[in-house]
Amino acid sequence: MRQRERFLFVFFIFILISIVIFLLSLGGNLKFASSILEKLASPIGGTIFTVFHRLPFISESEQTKKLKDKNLNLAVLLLEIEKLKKENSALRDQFQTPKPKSDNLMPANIIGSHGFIPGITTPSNFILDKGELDFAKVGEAVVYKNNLIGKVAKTSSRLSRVEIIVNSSSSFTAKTQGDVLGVIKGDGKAMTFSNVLLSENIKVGDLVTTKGDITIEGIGYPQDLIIGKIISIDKNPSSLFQKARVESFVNFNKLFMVFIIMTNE
Amino acid sequence: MSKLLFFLLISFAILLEGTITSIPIVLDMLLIFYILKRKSSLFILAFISGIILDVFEVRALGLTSIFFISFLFIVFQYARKFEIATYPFVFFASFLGGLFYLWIFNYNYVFQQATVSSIISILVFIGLKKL
Repeated sequence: MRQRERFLFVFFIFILISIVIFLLSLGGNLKFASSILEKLASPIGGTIFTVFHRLPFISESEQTKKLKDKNLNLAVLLLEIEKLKKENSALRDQFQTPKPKSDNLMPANIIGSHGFIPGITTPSNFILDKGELDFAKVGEAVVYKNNLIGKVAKTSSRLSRVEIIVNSSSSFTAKTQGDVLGVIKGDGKAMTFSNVLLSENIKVGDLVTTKGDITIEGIGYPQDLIIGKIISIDKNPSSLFQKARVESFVNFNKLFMVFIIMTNE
Repeated sequence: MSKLLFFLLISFAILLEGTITSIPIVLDMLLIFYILKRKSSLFILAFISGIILDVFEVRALGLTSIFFISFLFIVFQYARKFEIATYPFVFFASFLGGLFYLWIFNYNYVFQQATVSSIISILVFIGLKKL
């Protein structure tokens, strides 16, 4: 009986402390304390993450790495060519193309990557070593070589959490290189390009890029970031829409560094 | 000796879950320690490990602690009426706890991870029981 009372007492004390800390944290009143803890956690997380990814059965061979890099660069090149073609066409038609906005990139190291089987399954999110003190903001796009990685979902003083595009809660508008519009939704492993009208023409191998979803504050996905390529199409004549599976060119398990597209403010 | 082992196990679990995996192994460790020791000091351990995980995973501080402490409290209430030092209980408690944890914190592969988490719990439970 005495032990039970002691249990209940300790439970109530600590649940109360946790709730108070949670409420204070939500209100942004614990930034100083969390900043100190993050200063300690950041190098520890970074070291463990790096050591783990240097393990021989996790890290990939130099040749594979080079080929993957080459593949990424080719995808960027292909998109550039498509873009140039469109620009030329627009200029010929005496339409002015808007000047591409110069994006402000901030490099950030990945210090945590939370997934089911580390190094094998696609992670749900990344923890970056940049936070509010580095002017990272929630909603900012995160890229790697013109490839969209995700967006900043939460920031703290020194760290930020990135929601990867394949995460099941990720959803945004996208277009193919043929300007077919649709919605990209993550499913944990890959992505689905859905809400594509049945009359639209999409094919396997088409590049899918961001349509551009920028808020008035300048936060969000800029136009023409590569999401991936279509690997299969699900087209049913009786449905209103067709959908396709999209796979990213990026191996999320092999990333060490990404770039946050900063707003100009 | 057992205190040192618990400390090492929970530290290892926090570092793994904080950096490279989303399998709820800290929750598993807390469950096993509670089943084996049944000490109120485990609420303190749940609180501290929750805060550390919140820092590593950029969550609002205290959220994981609330989950861990509430989970241990439910186990404590269950233990008042039923035997908990059994393999089926370890399996189902860690499965259900893991399932809620992964769902609340919005991770992928929820069922698979909860199943792996249960298997880890069973293995750790067998290992620690033999010591």
